[in-house]
Amino acid sequence: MGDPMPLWGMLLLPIGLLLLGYGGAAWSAILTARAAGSPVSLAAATPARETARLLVEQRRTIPGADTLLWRLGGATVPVAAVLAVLVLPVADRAAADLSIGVVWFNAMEVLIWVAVWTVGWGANSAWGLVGAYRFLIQGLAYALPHMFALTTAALGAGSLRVSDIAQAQENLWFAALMPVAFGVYLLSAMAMAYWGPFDPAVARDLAGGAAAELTGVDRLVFRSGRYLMLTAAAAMAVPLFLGGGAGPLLPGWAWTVLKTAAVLALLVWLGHRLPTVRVDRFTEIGWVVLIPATLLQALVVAIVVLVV
Amino acid sequence: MDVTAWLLRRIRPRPFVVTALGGTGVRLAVEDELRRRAWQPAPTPVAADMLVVCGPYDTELAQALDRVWEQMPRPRVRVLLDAQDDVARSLNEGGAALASSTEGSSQAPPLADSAHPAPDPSSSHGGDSGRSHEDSGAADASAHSEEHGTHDRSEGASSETADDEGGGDQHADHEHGGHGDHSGHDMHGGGMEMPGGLPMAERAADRDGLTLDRLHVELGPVLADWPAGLRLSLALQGDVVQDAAVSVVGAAPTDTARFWTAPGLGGRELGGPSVEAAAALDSLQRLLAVAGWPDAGATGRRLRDDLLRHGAREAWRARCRRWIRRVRRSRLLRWSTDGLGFVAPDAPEVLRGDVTARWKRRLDTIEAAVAQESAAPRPTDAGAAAQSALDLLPSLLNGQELAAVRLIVASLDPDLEALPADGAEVGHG
Repeated sequence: MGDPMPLWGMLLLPIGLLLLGYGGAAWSAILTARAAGSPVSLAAATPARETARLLVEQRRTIPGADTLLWRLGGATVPVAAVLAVLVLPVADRAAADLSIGVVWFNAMEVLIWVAVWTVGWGANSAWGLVGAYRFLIQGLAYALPHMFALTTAALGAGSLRVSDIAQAQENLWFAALMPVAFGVYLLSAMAMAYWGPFDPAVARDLAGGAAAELTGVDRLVFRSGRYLMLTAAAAMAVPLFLGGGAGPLLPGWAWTVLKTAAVLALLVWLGHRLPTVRVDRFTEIGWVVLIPATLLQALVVAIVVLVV
Repeated sequence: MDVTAWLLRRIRPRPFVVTALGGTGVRLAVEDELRRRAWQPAPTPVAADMLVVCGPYDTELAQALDRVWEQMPRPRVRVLLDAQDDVARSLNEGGAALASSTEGSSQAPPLADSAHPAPDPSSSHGGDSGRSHEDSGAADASAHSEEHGTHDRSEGASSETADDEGGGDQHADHEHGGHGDHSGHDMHGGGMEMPGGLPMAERAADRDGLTLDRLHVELGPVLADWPAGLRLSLALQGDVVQDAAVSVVGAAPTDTARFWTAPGLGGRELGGPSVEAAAALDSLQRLLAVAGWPDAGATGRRLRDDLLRHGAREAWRARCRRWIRRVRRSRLLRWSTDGLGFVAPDAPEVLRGDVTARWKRRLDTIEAAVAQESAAPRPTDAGAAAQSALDLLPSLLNGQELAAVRLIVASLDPDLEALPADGAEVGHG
């Protein structure tokens, strides 16, 4: 629908993603400082200082490492995040408003599987490999409920085009029409960014897991990619469940940014509030609870769409 | 290089804190100081640029520390602390050495590098900063690397296993050393090209009767959120433990008693319940960090430090009550720890039950201090508890996967400083 996004819009998209991602990282640092009782005033600059530290840090080489895959995997994370938001309508325009936008988003976000796996495997390290395995198991647990949640939103609008889904919520946000799907989407948004309770792939108990051997700019790319992915997932929640850019007074793009920031802040806060879930326990919930719940949700929405 | 220098002046160091047996007091002082500076401790040496060693250490730990030092990317700095050192001043000096480390880029690189130039040309841009700081006792770490001949196991957080080395650019050294019982001397030996000249993993039957790769991985003594002085030698298939053995690295000097029972606890006037509570807080913060809840762990550290400094004041009690409620109510935490590492009721009381029972018991101890109950703290013989935890560990860990291993160890949390001086017996399963 509408005109295609102008070129400057295409440039603004990754910059906006980066700014919001930095905001998420800073918010995370503030929460950490508050929990530890460190001076909170220093925390907002923590991601910037950490970036400076990683920029001057030595890149390491490891014997037996598959260096190409290792570094490519890390670089895949931010690239996948930027590609995923190409279908995001900002002010009624998306960079690429594909007729199968939802599928595109899902495909880009599955690239994270490849990325985390190759980062973990490529380093030729036991920690990395165990972390990579953990992510694949987690993927098996969250991917199907996530796909059903996306399908339910598409079902409610009768279209796989993301801007159509946003428009279909003029009267009622899908977050209200399909709360289970929205909840599952938020869970899987954290899981795809291996964030918070779903971070066993890069957890402390594995000395960093898949990211255990990354240093310098490689670590910087991988870590910032994670925040970009979390931001991208938060941004997609806006057209899928939160009415897109609709809202009073402010222009559409501002509402999209505001809603994205709110969802991102919520996800980051949840990540700090909750302990890690062990993958074997989460798999059980994923298959026994989340899949049936999302299927039932899809059934209810399908009936509503047919009847109303 | 101007940009590099500019960036270096802006970095906030990320220390990796290692505790030797007998270094608990120093570690608490370091953690307190780091918190006030908002220096975030690194979970692994690879993510750190400052190696902070707390307490006295012996040759065995020094070797492990050298290996860890090799794995740290540059710029890096080492801070060795003993009980009489001024923690704040030493950290300041370490930070300053880090910030000015490009000035040393024209100096000769450490020995290991000159003998085996790093294969990655980009690795030179960090500049040399391997200056050790307060480092008179231990010789330059890099100089030791030539002697690390036969090891196929790792010490510390970065893994290094039979087919796997997680080290830095000095790895060229290891290829000359031979790897234990493997014939991995030759880059392309054995007719088959080995990845990086390293030997492949050995194989063994797993619990389902399949023949799978078997890796030897050592946890500790240099590992974050880990009991000081504990070393766990694991044989892993995938992430499942097939065989576990424990040993104790280093021995607390006889003149420093167990930190938590030392009279006066460094001159502080604290009652028995408060000391017990501080010890329980210290133990719990490690468990929470391992359980992937670093924020709750950090709050626990802060409560511990405040308790040790000011005693159980009213404000502290209110904050502590909130924290206890949050941890106790966490269903996710219980869900992760329920049923893990069950210890039969004939063991010392502090060890009994599963991981959940153990962390709840610690919460009870803290709660008693908050309520200022005058009930005498149950006398627990920390030495006996630590010894039976060591004896129990191998059998508890067999067949568990790594996440469970870390949780079980953190919940038992043997205080090895309390072990009787005649040397710990080690278990094997």
